[in-house]
Amino acid sequence: MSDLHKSFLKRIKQQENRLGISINEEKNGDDDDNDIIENYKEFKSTFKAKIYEKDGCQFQTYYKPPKDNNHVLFCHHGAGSSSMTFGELTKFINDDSIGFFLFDMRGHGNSTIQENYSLDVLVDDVHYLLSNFIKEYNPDSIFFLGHSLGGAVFAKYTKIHKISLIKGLILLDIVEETAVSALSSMPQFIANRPTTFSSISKAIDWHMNFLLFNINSARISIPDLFHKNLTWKTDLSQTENYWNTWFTGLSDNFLNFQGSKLLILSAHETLDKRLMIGQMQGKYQLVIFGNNEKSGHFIHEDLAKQVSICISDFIKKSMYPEKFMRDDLGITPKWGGNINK
Amino acid sequence: MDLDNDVPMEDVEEQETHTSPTSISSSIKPSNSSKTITSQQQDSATTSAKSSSQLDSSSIGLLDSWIEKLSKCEPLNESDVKKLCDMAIEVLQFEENVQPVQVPVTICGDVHGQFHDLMELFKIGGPCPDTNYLFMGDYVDRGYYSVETVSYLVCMKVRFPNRITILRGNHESRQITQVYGFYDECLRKYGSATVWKLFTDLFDYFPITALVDNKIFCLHGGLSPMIETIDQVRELNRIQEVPHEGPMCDLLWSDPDDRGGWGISPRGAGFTFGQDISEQFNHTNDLSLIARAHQLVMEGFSWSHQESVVTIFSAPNYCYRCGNQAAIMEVDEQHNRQFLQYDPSVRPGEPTVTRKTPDYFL
Repeated sequence: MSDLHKSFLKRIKQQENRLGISINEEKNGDDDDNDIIENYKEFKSTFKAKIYEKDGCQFQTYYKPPKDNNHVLFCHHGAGSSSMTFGELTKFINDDSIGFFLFDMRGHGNSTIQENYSLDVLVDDVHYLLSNFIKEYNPDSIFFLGHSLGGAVFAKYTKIHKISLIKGLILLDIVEETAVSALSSMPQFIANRPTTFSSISKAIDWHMNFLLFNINSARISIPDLFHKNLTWKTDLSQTENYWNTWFTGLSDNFLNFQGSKLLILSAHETLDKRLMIGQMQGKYQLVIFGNNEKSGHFIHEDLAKQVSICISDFIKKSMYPEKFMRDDLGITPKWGGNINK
Repeated sequence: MDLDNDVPMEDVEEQETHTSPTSISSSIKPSNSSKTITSQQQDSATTSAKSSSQLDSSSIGLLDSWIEKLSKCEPLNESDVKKLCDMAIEVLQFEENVQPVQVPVTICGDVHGQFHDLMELFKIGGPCPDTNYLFMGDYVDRGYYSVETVSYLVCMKVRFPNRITILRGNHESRQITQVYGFYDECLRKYGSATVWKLFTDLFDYFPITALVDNKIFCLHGGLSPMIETIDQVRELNRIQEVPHEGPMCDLLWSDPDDRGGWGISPRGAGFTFGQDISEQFNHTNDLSLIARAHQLVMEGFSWSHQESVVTIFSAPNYCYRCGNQAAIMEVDEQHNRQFLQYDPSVRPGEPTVTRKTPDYFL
């Protein structure tokens, strides 16, 4: 751990102590673990769970259908994470017209371990799942929501497959240049992380020290990452050979997508040249949760409520601009005709 | 068109008898062209100072010393910023939502804290107050010298109120500056948010549009489906934070688009407007042109909607990485337009801003 990193952790600790929310003071032990696991299982049971099988690889999926209309937020988590990283977020999107499709990518969560993690294979997995999902549920529209690597997969997907049902592409905390430059520090990160924990509570504590800042979300997302014996389900080092394929071309793929685009970043902006030009030309919506110490790379977990508002407004505005203006903003155009999508 | 450019602003409205030439020609200079001031009056600073009756000689002395300090890219101290902002409110609160401006004038787009490029702009366009300037907002954020840039422009505004007009851009806002750099820069340079508060409170007073000789409507962003006539802009209460939606937001956020009609803006604020909208607006309001900024254009300026709209962007190599040229647009007494393009100024290396590599990124 670098000195910078250490001082960062120390600062977080101090802040937590000051605010009286230090995890050290939380109760611990098996009772707590049982509560966590029970709540986690109960939450998962609110989704329709289904296994999709592709070439011997089983994909765990979760679906919560919309009540009216049929817009589906199709979510792809990042490497080392799982579908349940979006769990807390789905609680806050109260729009009845929006459904959620979550899945564990290969080698993650409850999906089968595989050897090939190249970007093209991941794109192909999405194509398989999405095609089957569309066949089964016939949604009116799809909005892609990708966190980190998941965003890169979706952006590449929209480059390869032109599917008119896909109306929007939302990226969570992923910028090509930043991601590529951060990769070099990843092997050390992986090597340094504990291989096992004594309890789920301890695993949550570890994440809450520097990766996650929302305990409610962590209690849903973290249990999904571990086997019963509290070792990691995902061996991140297996994916290392493919890292160089993951983020290259992301900015262009995102900007070239023809539908609505939203980029949500967790901290100070780190736009690369392509994204900077695109943003300054008004090509996409950029939301940055800057100056907020209680958020990090898992922005949709840390600030689930704020991110959910961004996303549901984005979908409403993309699908029903006039209705959104009238009902949500109280605006009726005075001249020049209708507002187009 | 032999109006005395030194008439105080309050008199401008009464002088609406001036004629507007009908033939408008545009010419484009190559980027490396050197600027020669031909038609503009070379009146002195003292002449123009006379027009701003409120400035006494001690204020002028103070302002001149601040301008000199800022010219070297040295920020003012906090108490001077306070004095400056108080003086600026005295000037700006009496300006209009649609601030009248006369020709000749040089119209400029986004600057974004690129102080050395702003100095280059004044070299290319001619020094203020010898040349009249109209800036269309976005002085702060992203560049490393937002404090010096906005301090300098506000000083010039107070010192030569009839020579320079500074409109509000979407970045002259409390919310946006907290995300895109100005807030952090103030903390870094002053150790507290006081200066940020002073400036963002001042931004509320900036006029939101300008009307050059009743013919060129200038604003940061673009048109609004809530605003059909320029008179409707005059009715807005502009002294407030830039709202998230509504007419004032649109004027600072909208973009022209190749598609006709109104469109939802991909930015998430404001609208896109097509050629039909621009033409209708110009016709309704008897305008020859809408000049606006807000969008990066690689040549520094860009026509849209068959020359009903021009975009001007005055931050070369935006954010030190975009590789774009910058431009300003001169409008002379006959309403001839001329674009002057320029590249980044030569300067010592930018301060290295260390970017924190994320802890985790998969």
